Amino acid sequence: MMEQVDSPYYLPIADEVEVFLSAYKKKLPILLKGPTGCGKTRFVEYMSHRLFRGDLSDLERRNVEEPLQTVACHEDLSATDLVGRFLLKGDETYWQDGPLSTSVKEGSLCYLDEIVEARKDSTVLIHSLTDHRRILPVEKLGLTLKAHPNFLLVISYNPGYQSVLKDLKPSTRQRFVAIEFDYPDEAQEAIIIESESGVTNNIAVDLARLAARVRRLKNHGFDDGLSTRLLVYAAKLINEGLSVHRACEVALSNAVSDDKDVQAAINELSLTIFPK
Amino acid sequence: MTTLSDHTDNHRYSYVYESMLKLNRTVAETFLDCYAKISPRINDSELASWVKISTTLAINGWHGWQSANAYMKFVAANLDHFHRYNFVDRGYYALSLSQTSQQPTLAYFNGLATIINKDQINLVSILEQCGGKIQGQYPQASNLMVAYFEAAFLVLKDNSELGFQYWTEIVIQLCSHDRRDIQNFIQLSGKYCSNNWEFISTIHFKNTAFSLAYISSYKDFEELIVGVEKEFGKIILVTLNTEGTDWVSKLVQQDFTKSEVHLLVCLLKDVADASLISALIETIKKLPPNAVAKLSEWARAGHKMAEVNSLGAIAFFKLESKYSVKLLDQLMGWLRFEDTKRVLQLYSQCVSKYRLEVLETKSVEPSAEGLSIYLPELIKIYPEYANNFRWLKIALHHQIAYFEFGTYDFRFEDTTHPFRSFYRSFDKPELAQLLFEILEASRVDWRLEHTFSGLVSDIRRIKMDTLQKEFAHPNKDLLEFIMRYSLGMALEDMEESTNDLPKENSIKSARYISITNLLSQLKCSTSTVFDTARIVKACYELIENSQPNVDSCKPVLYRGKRNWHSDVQLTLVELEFDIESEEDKENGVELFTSGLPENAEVDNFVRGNVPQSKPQEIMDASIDGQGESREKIDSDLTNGRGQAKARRAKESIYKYDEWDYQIGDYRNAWCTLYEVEAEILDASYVADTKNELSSVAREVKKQLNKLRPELRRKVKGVSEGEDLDLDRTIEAMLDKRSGTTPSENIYIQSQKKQRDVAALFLIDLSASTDDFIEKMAVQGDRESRKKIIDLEKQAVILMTEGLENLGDKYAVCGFSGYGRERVDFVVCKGFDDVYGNSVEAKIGGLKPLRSTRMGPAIRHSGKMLLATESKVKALIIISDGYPQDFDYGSDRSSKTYGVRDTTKALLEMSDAGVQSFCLTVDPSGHDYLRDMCPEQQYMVIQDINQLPTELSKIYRGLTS
Repeated sequence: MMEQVDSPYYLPIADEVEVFLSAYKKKLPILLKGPTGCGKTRFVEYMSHRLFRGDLSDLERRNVEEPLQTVACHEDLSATDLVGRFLLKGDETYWQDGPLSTSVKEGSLCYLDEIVEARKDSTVLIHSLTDHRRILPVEKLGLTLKAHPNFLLVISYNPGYQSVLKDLKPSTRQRFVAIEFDYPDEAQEAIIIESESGVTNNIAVDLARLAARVRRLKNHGFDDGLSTRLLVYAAKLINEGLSVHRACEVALSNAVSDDKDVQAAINELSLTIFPK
Repeated sequence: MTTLSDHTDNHRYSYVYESMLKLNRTVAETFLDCYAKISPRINDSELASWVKISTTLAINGWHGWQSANAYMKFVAANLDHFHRYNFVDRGYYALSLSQTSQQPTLAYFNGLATIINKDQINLVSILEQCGGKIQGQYPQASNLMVAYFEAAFLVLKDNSELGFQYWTEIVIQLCSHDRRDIQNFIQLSGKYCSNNWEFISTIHFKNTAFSLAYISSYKDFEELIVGVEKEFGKIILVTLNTEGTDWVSKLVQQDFTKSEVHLLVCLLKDVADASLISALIETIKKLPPNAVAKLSEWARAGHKMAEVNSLGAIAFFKLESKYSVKLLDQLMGWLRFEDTKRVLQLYSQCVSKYRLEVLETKSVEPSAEGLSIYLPELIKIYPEYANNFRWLKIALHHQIAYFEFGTYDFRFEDTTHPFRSFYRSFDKPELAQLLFEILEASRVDWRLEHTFSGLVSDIRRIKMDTLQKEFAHPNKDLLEFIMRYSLGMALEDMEESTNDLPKENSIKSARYISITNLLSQLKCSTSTVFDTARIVKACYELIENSQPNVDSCKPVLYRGKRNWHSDVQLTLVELEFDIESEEDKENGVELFTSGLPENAEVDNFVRGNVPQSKPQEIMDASIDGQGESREKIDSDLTNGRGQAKARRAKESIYKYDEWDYQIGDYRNAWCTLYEVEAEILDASYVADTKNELSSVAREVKKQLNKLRPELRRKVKGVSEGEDLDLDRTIEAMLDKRSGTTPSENIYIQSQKKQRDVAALFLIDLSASTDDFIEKMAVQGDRESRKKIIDLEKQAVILMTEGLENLGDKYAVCGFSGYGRERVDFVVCKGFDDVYGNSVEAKIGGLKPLRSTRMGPAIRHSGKMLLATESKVKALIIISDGYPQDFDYGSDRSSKTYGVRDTTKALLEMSDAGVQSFCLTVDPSGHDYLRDMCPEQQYMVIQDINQLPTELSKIYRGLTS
């Protein structure tokens, strides 16, 4: 029996929880679309907790050691990285399962974050896992793994900053149920900031206002909007006693862009919203 | 008539009378008359001398009698001074003067008569000696002598003995100069006789020309230097050691005030060069007269520079060098809009939901037209930069607030011009308008304070400063009362400040209280423009009969100027919004649209950094048509907006610094570059070129195709990878067994290769590209003759085809211009433009224009390339000669300035990570390209027909 862990905080914005549960029940793979830092990863963590540790768990799922395998995809991520590879140990080679194989075998959630960043062979690899077959061929071992009934593949992708060249191929994207995410509105974001960081409601509300305005700068030095995650960071720093303006500087303007003018504009905005 | 026989004592001189009578009756009678007066007062010897001198004078030349006449009369009239001034000697001097002409003698006696009452016989001797020197040097120069005597006696009369001696010293010295010098000096001396001749003598012996300039303008600046005469004199003496003496006359011509001259003197205390003074004189009006300490520091930096680079120092004092401008800004705390433009543009984008463009204006008042906000180019309200920035930020916010807080939502009786109709609904529309402006400005300020708590302290501070500065002297005018209240003055404070005014109209009277109650309704966080209109109406009724002084209500600077009568503003906002919404709908604004044309238009919208196109014409046109239907106006506005937008898109203006090797610094914002879209189109040119040069096109394409990367490559010997590298693994095993530490790099990784290139082709469009290519001109028939511009264009056309195939980002631009104020930069294809018929027609339509000012064109190309954020950035310049323009450096015949500026611009590119390459068809290109860039970065095309293929090779070299 695994140690009880607190549920990650997640504020549902719409019906994404219901959609996820329905898809899980029917073993339908899920695609989460949305900008950086809008809560996609947190949502998956939240759902995995509910399904494997929380109110929706059962004995079998509670016994899964790692209920969520998260892979941050990058441009050098290959199929080998997902499935596994031979490594040297002593005088021998041995097989090391990759996170996808582990998840398929154990029956957990496998979350491939920013899937379009990965090499094409990785995206093709998941095809057989995401249709009725639910199998994972492991070529180097000459095996085919059949997915555990509790296994579910979740991928995410941020259309905002992907170039046309990095778009998901239709043959891949049409295998998923797609849930769209966006930044929460000011009121919801304020609640999230307050809950996550423990700052006062006033500061949380003002941080959310600031974020809504900074997001108007999209495409000026940064491709994505300002993430809720960064707002929570700023709020946490404020809660630790850092001045509001300094916290906004290090957690927001400096973090979001290297463009000095963009940074200056955001800093000015923080001076406008928060009194000295 | 008196006869000699009447004077029995004097019969011995009757022969004199007789002889004079033969010459001229007048002189004979003068003799008789004067003789009668003189003879009783002087001894026989003196009388004999007098007679002798008079007689000799009379027969000395054709009009000698005139001199004799003057002498006799002079002596008779001044008999009291006969001995003191020794009239006999004076007479003999006159005799020496009258050898060639009588005029000098006459001038001499006229002048002598004017000073006779002064005890200055010594000076008269000096004067005569000095005159003698002139006469000795120029024996025939009677006019000069006349001028001399006229001036000398004036100077003598108005100066001390010493002053006159200094003057004569100058004259004597000038005798050895060119005759014009002494003529000028004497002429000016007579005009400005009361000068300080001691000082002038000092400067004269150092620099004659300057002393003349000084004398001629002294009167004009005499008043200006009161209090700093000594320092002024010192500066002059120092500058005498150097060339350039026209600064004194400049001082007068430019209409300086006393405080400006005092500042000038103060800044030039340590000056070492007259040319610096001239430079500073040109600038002094731009400097604040009350910041002497800070400006002295600035001037010291200029003096320091003068020690090593005199031209640099001149540019420094003219405020033309970048160092000078930056230093002055820094010392004074000034803020240049240009330096903060992008931050403010981004900031306004954050705080406003409208696409507002922030631009600069020459005016000191902020303003808005259409969706453009205009801010002053230089803010120097406070002595600190930070405070100036605060001011500018509040000024910008105030303008944005009109948009954000619904000022343009105002409607009145369903008219097309609601503001104007509203004002006209009052008996005194001017008063209603003024009230509306004050109250609406106040309302949006109060809304700002409610919305952005971080702005509160800045807004209140600026309001308070305005109150203290503009409304320091209270009065009880109700309109001014409203203004003061709107700027934050409490009723109690006003009561206190108006204590000394007549009590008949207490500030706490019912009307004042009613006004404050009304105004306080606008202070809430939800007030709208309709509340303003309601309060205006109520206030109007309260103050209408109090004879409010509309003129006394000074404008509040940070609130700027509003075109309240420009009712079209609101329509523009609506249209902008409507059209944007429509565009958004059409484009299906989705996350995927970033970087696509709609967004590209946003970039166009903000990229120009100097205001150019205002929608004023549209407004004016619409205002005139008051009776027109809303639909008609909307239609006009839509068209107008389209035109304005099109114009804005067609032309953006940029200022660029230019490197001046002589001053060793950049000339600040020296060149104005106009980025324009190509207007001349030639749709068939590209197709013709492709047909004509199909074989070359194939070759170019083949060359470029070689650049196409293999999709993947296997990299061996890495620490992570898909497979084990068998060789390295065996090696590692062997190492391990032999006791050596094995390498961890035993894997094979498949890595992706891709090109991330942006290239800009910059085509020289100077007039010389209109020339025919020599070789072809000689050999070919008329039809086949090609011009240099054709070859440039064709080379680029062939490249574009290959590049489209390769998938690299590229842009095609041309440049030319005339003078630093007009550098044309023609964009045929921007990086984000899709290659198609339009681009082809633009390239085809490129025509030779004027000069070749390369520096700003290269800098602008660099700006475009850097904006692409591509890993490899390449600039390829195709030209036909060295950089030149009529004002590319002070010496038009020298190539050095243009070459050095271009060199610097290329270095800037290199520092910024842009690889540049210069390709020229000028056979003498080696001479200057060798100086401009390393050997591997330029090429002189010997056989011009090789240009297309060479270009593709160069491109490969630059980008692979």
